[in-house]
Amino acid sequence: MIRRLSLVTVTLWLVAAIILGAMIWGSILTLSKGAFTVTQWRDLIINGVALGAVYALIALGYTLVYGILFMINFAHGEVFMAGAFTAYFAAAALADAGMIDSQPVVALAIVFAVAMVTSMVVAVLLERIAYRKLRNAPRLVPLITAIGASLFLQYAFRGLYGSSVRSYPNVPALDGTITIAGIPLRATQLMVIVSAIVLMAALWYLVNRTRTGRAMRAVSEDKETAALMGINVDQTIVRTFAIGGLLAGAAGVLYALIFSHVTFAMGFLPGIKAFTAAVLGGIGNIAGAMIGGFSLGVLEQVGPNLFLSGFGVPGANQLRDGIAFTVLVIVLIIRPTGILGRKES
Amino acid sequence: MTYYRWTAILAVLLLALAACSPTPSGSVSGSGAASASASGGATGDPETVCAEDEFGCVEVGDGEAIRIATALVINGPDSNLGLDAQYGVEVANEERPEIAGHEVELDFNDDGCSAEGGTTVAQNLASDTTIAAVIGTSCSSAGVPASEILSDAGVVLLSPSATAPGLTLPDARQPFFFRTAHNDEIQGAAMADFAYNVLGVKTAATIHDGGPYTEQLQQVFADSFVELGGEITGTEAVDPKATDVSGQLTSLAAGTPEFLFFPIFTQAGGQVARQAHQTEGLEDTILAGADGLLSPAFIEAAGAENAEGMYLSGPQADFGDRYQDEFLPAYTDVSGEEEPISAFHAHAYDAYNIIADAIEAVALEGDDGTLYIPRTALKDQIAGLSNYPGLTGDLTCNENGDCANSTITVREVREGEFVPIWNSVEGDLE
Amino acid sequence: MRATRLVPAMRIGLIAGLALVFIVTIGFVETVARREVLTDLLSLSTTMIGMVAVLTGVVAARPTADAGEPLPGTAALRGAVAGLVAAVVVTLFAAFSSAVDLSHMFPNLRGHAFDTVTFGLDLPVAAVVLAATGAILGALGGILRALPPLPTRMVVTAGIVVVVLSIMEQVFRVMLTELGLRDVARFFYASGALTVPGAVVVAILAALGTWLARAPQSPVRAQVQRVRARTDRRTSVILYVLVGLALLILPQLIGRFPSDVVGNAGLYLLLGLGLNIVVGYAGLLDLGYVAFFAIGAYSVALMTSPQSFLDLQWNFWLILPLVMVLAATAGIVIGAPVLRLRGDYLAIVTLGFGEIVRLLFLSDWLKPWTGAGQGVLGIPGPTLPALEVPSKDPESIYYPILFFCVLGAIVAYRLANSRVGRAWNAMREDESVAEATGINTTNYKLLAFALGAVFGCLSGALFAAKIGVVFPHSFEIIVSITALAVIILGGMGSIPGVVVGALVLVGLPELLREFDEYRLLVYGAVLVAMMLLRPEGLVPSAMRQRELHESDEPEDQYDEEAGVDTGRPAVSGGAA
Repeated sequence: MIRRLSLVTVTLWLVAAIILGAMIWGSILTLSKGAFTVTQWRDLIINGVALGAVYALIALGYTLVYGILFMINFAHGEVFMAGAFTAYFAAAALADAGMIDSQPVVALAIVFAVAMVTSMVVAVLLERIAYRKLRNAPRLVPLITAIGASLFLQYAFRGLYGSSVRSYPNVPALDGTITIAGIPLRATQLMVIVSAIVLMAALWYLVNRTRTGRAMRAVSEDKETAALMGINVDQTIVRTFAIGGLLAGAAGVLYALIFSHVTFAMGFLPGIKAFTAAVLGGIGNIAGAMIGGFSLGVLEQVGPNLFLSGFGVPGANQLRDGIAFTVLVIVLIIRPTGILGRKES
Repeated sequence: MTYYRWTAILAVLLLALAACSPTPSGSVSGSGAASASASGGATGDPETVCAEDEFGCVEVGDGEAIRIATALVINGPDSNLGLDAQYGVEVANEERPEIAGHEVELDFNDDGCSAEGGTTVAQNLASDTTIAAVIGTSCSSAGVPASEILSDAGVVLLSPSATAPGLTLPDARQPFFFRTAHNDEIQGAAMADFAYNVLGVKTAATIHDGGPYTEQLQQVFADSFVELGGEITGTEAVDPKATDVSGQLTSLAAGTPEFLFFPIFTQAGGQVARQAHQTEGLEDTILAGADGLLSPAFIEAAGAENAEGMYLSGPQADFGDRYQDEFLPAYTDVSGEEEPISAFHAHAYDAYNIIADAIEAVALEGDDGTLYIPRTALKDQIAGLSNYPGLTGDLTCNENGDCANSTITVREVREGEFVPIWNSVEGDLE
Repeated sequence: MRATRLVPAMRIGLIAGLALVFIVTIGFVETVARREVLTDLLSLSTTMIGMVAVLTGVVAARPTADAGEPLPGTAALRGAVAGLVAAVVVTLFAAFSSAVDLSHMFPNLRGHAFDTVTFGLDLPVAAVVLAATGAILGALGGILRALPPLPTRMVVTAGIVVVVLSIMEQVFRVMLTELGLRDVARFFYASGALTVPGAVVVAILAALGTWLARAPQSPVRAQVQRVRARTDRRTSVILYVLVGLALLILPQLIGRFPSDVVGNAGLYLLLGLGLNIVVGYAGLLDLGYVAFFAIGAYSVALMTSPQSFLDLQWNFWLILPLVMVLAATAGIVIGAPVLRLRGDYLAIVTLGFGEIVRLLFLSDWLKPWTGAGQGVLGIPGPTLPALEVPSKDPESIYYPILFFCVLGAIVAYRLANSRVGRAWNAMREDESVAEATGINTTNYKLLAFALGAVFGCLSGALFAAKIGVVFPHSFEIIVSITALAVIILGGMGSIPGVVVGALVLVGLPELLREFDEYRLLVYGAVLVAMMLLRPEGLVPSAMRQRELHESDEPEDQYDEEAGVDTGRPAVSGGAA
């Protein structure tokens, strides 16, 4: 039996090696062709980092919940959408009132607050209505519930806000570029990256330096013991969902600032991507979610052009998600618990 | 498990499912009972004619309504396309609520804009022997299976907006399929002509979204452009729901095209327009799209400042005074929209009238007042359409079922408005 | 106050009211308002709102842990209070939405969204009418809850049957007409709904039927029980033959369009049976099951269509064995990398595989071979070389689908009760323990993937032959999720459950046109509701029921919170 298992493993390693080899070979071909300029590569990487920052913020929500409940909150992408979509109405109202032009900081703060509070409420309701009863159920049960909740939320918001694409108002204060260390960054991107880093630092502080954080860590270690130590487990779990929701809401506004569009379906794909990022980095692991998010963002931007265009594959960027998932599979073959490993249940 | 939980679950389920059902027939009542004694234009004994017709006759009893169905995409993300055409049909129906002395009942269906949706709706309509003809489908992907199923059943399918060339290829076309929409062979070629000869660009790149319509249209454009002497520097594909398209744009920027043609739909199209000029190598590239972007929703999605100066091809924009003075006000009444939400309402209006005329030409009245519409004769009548004064122009059906006025108009986006500047017949309009 | 427990009733009323406001705001009610249940009398939306009110009453009158079964008077009072509160909530929102224009944010609140709820009356009048109606319906619900089981059952069944027959007018009217009973059809149906006299007849028949089937003194019930008790071989053989015959003549009976719908449900039935092996038996959550569906469809398309680059034009039946081998290989290829991953990782990786397969079929890269966005056209039906019959129309394609569904069900049934099935069970319950008892989990997992893949590919193959064209957009993740919903609704691991799931989730929505708008919303709600209320499904397998309920029995928290399980003795004879 051990022999057979290792046969499978060896085959998988071989396959992984071949794919990795092809990627490297493709990169060499692309670079030697020199079809893209250095500026173009740099722009792609910056785009990737900005996108990755958003993924990382969403991924943190997956990871926090997983760390405590060992369940994947599949509907987290919809929590993200709920915030971004609802905040659109605040942003549009502020734009009508001229606030976005005259008081950009205040206006953005309001938009962020609306998004974060909405996402937090949705996340907490989700926990209360859909997940709480299932805490001790077999693991498939909450996962399927979460998939159902994801569909339900998506189409409920479609019913509420309509199916059309809405465009966030332009924020003049974020037009233009800012040069840092010789690299011109678009102000939007800079804002996205900086806010994401600030939020992540705040989360780190919260988890490692506050009472709530200590309670979260304790519940994540062992719910029963934590309860015996006088920690309110229910409340801690609600807080975890709330924090995940706040981060997702902020991510929603950042995403909307980069891409302008909000629709009811906007959460699904980034949700899956962030989930991928969390798994890539090692789910349940906060640093892993950040690393996973950033690497996935850059990989998506750079990957197709780097790996495939050298081979002359037409429409290389069409296969972007395929590349992301292939890399995920390879990482999991080599390290079954993700880049940084995960907490075991 | 008690009875109550069962009942509750069942009741909720049934309700939920039931709730989603629409009105069984979106009948638009005409002017009361059909009292006029107008009979069909054809002569002959109904029984012999119907027996000789391969697919028999549609029988409409005295005082019963003639049923014309639509199969258009009226739900989901592409619903603007289908609803626009449906409004066109409704306007035509309000103007002409009776055919051959019988009230017309419209039966609205969804083609789902997919092969499965087209199959389902076609099976449904083919099984209903009271349907005289079908206006649809909106999408070519639905049209392929639907035209086959309905042709097998002898039901005329007249599409106002399915433009894929494959539908009327001589060896693949179905005998009962016709369209009042242009063939994309023409639109792609017209856009290439405009880009190469009018704008004078020599290099171009294209983007499609993997759908049969957009993929085909960019292909026709690319082929025609190369034939004219231009060069295609690259082709990329985006997801219809894409937000981040910078990878694709960078890949295309490597070939520094002068012209970027993306005949896709609003959501991804808006992102391409937003991100193109931010990409190094595409700062000065001319952007162009096709009828999928020809709606106010696109201007919002792209942002007016990004869409400014874009060129969009599509069917003829202004069909003359009758369109402006009579059709558009009626359209507004029916739809509640201030302006058309897509580009194929007039084609749908024409489709209804072509069918109505054809029915009146071939229908026979029995002694008991029953109206007999021979199916094959109806098809042949439409196939023989020649110089028909439609709203969209003079329409003549060719042997493959293409009946459209093939004038393609290019519009430029100026301050958020679509301004027609060129068409494939008259050239410059300004 | 405490004894009558009005506060919880008010809370239930509040929740029901908010739920009503929600379904109005998402446009659900308005969509439904266009359809009638009783000609010129009752629209579906009114029926639905009424039923929500009655249900509110039923829930409000449920027995409590401390007080037990309420008296009829108390039950009615509680129901009335709940109904009243719900009505007040709805009225308040209606008033608010007519005073403040919210349509910019909520497009479905445009114009007269609340008219259906307020009966089109002016607000002050509507408030009174609404409150009265709410209270009366709620009280009715409460009384219904307090009645003895048999009358309740009769009333409820009659109501449900009327609604179902009315909604399925399209099918039944056509059927009656086809059978030459045009006058009967005219008596029951007019302008798309049941007529009032028709509904009365139907309701009486349904109630009578219920009485006959359930009442202790009913002769029919005794007869049925006698037959049931005699579970000898002959009876069951007769039963199977009868069911088989019914299935064989079904397409002739129901005609073209319903046959098409049954065919589509059959495709999902096959998908469900396959996914059931992977998820239900082996416990591996595969979210990329659509990959196999796509591979099956494309293999058939490429090998049979004259328009494919292969230009083989082989016969459908000839290539089926080849497709199955391909499928099993695909199952192993996709299964191998995920072997060492547990539950949650498996979900995302399989989902990724599903996407990769779709993207490959869609990609410009493989266009010369797969046709990319243009798909593959001109796929012939599954013709038998010996028979010169049309093979693609719904009545004919029904038979191959039926054949494979029956075959699949038999295979799945045998598997479940075999050594392999027991090994999967052990593996699903605890992988480490299973491994310790000498089960080679690697092999069994791969076997599950391979077998599941064969079912999925067969379904895809039939899909391609049935519809005649394949486009990549037919293979999006929603297929996987629908298949998952099918097995969840019916009950994971249960074969009858898959049948029920496929018919309800795939068949019904196709019969009810325009359902698409809210179809996925309902799928989502079904998944959540089933997991919370009845995780073992509507027709559960015995083993799964034990598994899911043993953990909550000690605390009994499950049943208490769901609220409807305790108190009353089971009347359905444990049909669950």
